[in-house]
Amino acid sequence: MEHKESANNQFTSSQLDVIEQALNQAKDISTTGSYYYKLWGAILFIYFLLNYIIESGFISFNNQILINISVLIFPFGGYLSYRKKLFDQQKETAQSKMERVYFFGFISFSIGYAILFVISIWQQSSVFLKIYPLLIGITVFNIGGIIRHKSSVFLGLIGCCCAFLSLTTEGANLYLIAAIVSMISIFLPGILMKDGKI
Amino acid sequence: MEKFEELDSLLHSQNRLAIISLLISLDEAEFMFLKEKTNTTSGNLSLQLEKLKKAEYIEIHKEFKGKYPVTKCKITTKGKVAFEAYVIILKKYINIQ
Repeated sequence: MEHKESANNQFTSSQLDVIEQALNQAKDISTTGSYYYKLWGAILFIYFLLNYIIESGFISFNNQILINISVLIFPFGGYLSYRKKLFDQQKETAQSKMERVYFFGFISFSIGYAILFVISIWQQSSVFLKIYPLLIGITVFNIGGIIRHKSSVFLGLIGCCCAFLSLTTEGANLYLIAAIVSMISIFLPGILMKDGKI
Repeated sequence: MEKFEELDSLLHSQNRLAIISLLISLDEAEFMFLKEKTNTTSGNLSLQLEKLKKAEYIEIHKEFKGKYPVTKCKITTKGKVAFEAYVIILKKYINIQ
């Protein structure tokens, strides 16, 4: 009887080991979040910086070149994202649940920002620049909290705080604030996601 | 003396338990991934997946990755509930022991 109980002990313990081992293995699945943070952080930084240069009139040569670059940079980013997605689909054998978090997090940001952009054009206001730090800060903060990436939480919070500046500023400086926020709240978290497992 | 609930016999097999434990923390996984992680043969894995599918614990679908067909598995809500119940009962066993 005692012998049988001891065997049961081992049995249930080994079941727990199986579960623990499997959960750890699943945790090791890499996500591609870091790549997209870096890519889109850099693209938004360049876009806002170019617009800051155009709006502030620092450079006297033909601004049309800068305008063209700032517009073309988005399809270029889309192309790089598409290529990366295709490459990953060929390689990956399992998909982490974190990918969904990134996807819905940034889709909601994109929808919100697109609405703000349309309203800005319609009302000829700079509301899309004023709200940008708050919107991206909240997105990065939330995603950071869910994926348990402290740097994202902290840098997202800094992005949110930049809304104090953007909401009280007018003119070309709004582009500069947006560029800095893109660097702090998107590009930097991407750099800090070193091991790619988050 | 406390009477224990029965552990789900379908999940009590180590291979099937490993499969469900992997799938519960993933969105979906390919056959090859499960084979590598559970360290089992293709034949055995197919058999275990079929049993889990029959119990509606997982969904299996096939799709093409380039030119090659791949089998993808995903845990169902029924599978998640069964796994959670299994872990709760297992914990009770261990706590008493």
